[in-house]
Amino acid sequence: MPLVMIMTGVTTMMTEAAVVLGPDGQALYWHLPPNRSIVTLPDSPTLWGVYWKNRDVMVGQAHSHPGYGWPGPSWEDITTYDACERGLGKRYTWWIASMDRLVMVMWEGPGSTDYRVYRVTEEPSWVEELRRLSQQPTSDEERQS
Amino acid sequence: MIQAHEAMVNVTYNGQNFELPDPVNYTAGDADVKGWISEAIRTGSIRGVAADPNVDLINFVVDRFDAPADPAPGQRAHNLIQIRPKTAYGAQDDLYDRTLADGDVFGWKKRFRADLIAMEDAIVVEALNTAAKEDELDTPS
Repeated sequence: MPLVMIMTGVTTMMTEAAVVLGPDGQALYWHLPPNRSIVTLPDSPTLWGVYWKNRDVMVGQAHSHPGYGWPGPSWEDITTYDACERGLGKRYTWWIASMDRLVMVMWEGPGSTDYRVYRVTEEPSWVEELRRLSQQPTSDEERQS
Repeated sequence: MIQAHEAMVNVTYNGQNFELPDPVNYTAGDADVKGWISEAIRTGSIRGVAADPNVDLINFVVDRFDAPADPAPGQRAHNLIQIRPKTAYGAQDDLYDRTLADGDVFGWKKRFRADLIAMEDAIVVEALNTAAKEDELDTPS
């Protein structure tokens, strides 16, 4: 059952979205695959291609967790961070944004899945766009279902 | 000459992209292919690829690309297996961590929640200490 929220009379369905970030918070790629859902961003060879192509300039990636409050990485998120850093041969910063909070996740070690979560209080400019892209207007048919 | 039942294997690991020198059976299972690659990286038996005794491909995916039926000149004419990190996010634990018991996942999430609570507590303690110091400064001796 998709989470549907009503904002100023517009019905929106919330879905996860992601952005690959370069230096100074520059958005290198907005990841909005058609098969994304409220709880998942499925594996994507296209996204991997973006990581590989930008591995020397990207500083990390952010994805959204629809909902409110402090978000946290799922086990799926953590194992993806670990795999991507192994593949790319570098450490990166991984942000997670809820609709009103932002955290960044970084490897701390010593274990491969020992990542620490840091709360971010001063939000970069790309966060609002990520939140906007996580709210899709639904069709009349979807609204009725 | 690569046979119809064989495939070349392309791997991305530790910032390097390389191909195994010899083809493998195209129908080999994902676990077998990842096992062979892991062993090759662990022992440093691939030319130009640094040995990594801690190699771990458990969260890598295996993509398979059939040989084109009628390849154009210069186009790949053989089957290809590519191994790369997964890029999935969200609540898909069961897709990649089939060997992980429910309790393990829950335990990890519980630990994460405990970390967050500890962070919150640390912020509160710091704020209380700051307030106490300010009170001390404000209190006339």
